[in-house]
Amino acid sequence: MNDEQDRKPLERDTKGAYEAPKVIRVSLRPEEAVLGHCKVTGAGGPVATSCFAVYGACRTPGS
Amino acid sequence: MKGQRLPMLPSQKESLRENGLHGLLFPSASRLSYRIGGITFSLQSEGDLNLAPDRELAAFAVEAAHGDVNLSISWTDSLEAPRSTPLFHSGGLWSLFAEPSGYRFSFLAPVLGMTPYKEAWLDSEFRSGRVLLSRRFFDTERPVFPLEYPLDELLMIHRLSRGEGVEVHAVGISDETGRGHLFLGHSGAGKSTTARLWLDRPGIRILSDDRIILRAREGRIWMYGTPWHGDAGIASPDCAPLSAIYLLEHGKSNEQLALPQGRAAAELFARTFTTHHSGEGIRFTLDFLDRVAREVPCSIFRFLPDETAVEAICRAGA
Repeated sequence: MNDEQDRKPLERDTKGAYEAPKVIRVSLRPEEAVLGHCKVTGAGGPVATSCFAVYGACRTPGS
Repeated sequence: MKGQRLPMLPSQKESLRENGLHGLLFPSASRLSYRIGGITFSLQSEGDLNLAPDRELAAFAVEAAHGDVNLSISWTDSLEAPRSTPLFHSGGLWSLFAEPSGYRFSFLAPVLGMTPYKEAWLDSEFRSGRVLLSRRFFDTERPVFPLEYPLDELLMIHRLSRGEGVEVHAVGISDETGRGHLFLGHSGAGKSTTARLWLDRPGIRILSDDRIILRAREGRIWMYGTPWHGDAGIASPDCAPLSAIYLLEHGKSNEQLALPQGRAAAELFARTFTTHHSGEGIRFTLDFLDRVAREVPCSIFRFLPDETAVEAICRAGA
């Protein structure tokens, strides 16, 4: 019995207060996330050295 | 149109001038290997095709007879747009198709019409494949880097999604004690600005100002630099154990707000490059980010674009 009483305060401490689930919104940038577009034509970045390998391929600024 | 050379734009002439120097720095070859985030890509050309890496890849080049991802590269006279429905259309340069042997990426550019300029065929695990370049759209007398954006990153994120890790939109900084700080942000959030603020501090290593790879190793999360840099042009093959994550926001003062784990995982996902067409890939990515959010403290960092932002981070970590 004593053991049980001793344990209860400890359980309360470690469990923490109940927090109800809630929906949160995060901002997505699909045009960036899918790597479909060049960042800025002719500028630095992941595309800087690549887009001009193909004649004019990269004319779709996006990410 | 076959065999017809398209007119060269002024910007392309500039590029060719730059690549002339580039050619001296990186001679062409029939074999090319590089390692990013601990994953080795090996390219072998066929026929008269000469390979040359992007200049950013120089620091990532390795000697490797066999990679984790192995690709053969060749010219082809022409390519046809696949007639099947794509698994995924990026809305831009590439689409992905299911094939009996695995997957096919088809690359189209509006300015080039409806004919693909490149295809990449990969096995289902993204460990081997071949890349076909349509001769009519390239200067075949010059060496090429066939994994030009976005194929290099597409291969990486597909390979990572097979249980290896994730690529995030972030700047990664290792401080003077070796602890890794990851500053996440969409375009315009201040990643390159942050990188520049830290650049001249002693003992600091900046792994990339735009793309970082996260992987689990030795019981903890590590961050790796990539060649895919942002406006600050910083790219390093180094890595560091991840100690703290910050969600960058422009602010009127420097302010750090702790994020609950669930929100942190969601915000990480919003800044992760992953395989949106694959339930399996998404599942792994979410599980991995959940682990990251549980193991590494994450906060919103509203910052001023000056030295005080660096000092605020250093004070918080002291």
